[in-house]
Amino acid sequence: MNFTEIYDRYFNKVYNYVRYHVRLPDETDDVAGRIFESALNKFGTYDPARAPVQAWLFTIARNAVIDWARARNHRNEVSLDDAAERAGTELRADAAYEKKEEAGLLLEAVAGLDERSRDIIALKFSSGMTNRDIAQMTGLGESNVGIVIFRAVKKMQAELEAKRKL
Amino acid sequence: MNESEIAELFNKELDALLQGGRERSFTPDRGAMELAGELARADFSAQSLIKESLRERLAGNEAGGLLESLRSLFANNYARAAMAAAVLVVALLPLARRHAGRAPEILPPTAVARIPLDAAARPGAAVTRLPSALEPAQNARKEELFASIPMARLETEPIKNFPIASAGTGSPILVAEGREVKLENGSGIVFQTSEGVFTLERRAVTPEDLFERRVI
Repeated sequence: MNFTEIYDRYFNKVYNYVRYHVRLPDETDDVAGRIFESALNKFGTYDPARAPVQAWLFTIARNAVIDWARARNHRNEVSLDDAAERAGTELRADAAYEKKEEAGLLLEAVAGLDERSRDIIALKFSSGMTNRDIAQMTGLGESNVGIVIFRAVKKMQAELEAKRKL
Repeated sequence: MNESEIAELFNKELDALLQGGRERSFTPDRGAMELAGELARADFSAQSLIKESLRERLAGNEAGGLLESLRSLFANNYARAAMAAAVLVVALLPLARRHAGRAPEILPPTAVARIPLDAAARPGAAVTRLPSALEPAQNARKEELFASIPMARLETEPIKNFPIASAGTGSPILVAEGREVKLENGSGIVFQTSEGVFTLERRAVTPEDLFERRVI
């Protein structure tokens, strides 16, 4: 499998994973671009015997998201509230292209999770990895991952129901 | 049923959903599973503005990366010199093969011609024109390593006739006219000096009379 095939197969998944964390489309593009550039640079040293392509790629993606979060906090150019407001505006604009605003609501709901839960939810629903794979990647126990996912979904469910009632 | 058991059923159904299988109803919490289904179907990638351009750029970098890898491989001088030597060897190999059949031939030595008896060297005769005598043979058989010397063509000074005059400060000849004697295979002149009586022989000789034959 060459790198272009990897890109075609995994771009959407990686983009969705980043989007759950970053929320802003332009910054998501920026981070996703850096992820695939980094992956291309490391592709020569990638060993399929050590990890599947997806796990290898999402490890790079996780590190890129962590770097992005650190840089954002360090820059402090845009406060989290401002970012949420911008994201809400853009999501409302993006919603015009969607039949429903459900995608925006989902992103907001994911953004309301704590960092660890958000990361696990993003991994689970963007990549489709098993709880065992996520456990290996995050260093948590497999059953613990399952509990985190269930609680996170329940929390988002409660928030979304509350918003939809408004 | 506690939270762990509910979570286990939920995750079991969620994995089946994400793997594209039929949604089997494991969990009693249908609301949570419906939201999980929405999350599983959510795809934001259509909002990406760089998907195609990034693909083209990475594809270009991937092709360039191969060239860059080759370039970095030959970055150090040793690798560059080794590559140059290898290319030189490959380039010159056909040339070396073409000239391999032109090695100088070493001819086996030819037999030395027999020396005719009637042209044997005579005692007292000096070879004065040896170089000129060798020239015809050299010209005729230049390419041979060894060549026989045609003894018959050697020219010598004619034998002087008697009486022999005294020369230099050597032993003076007391008897000017010698006494001719008959010898085996020839003749001789016996003459007397102050130191003694000598015989000057005149006869045909064979090479064995003059040279010692040895096997190398």
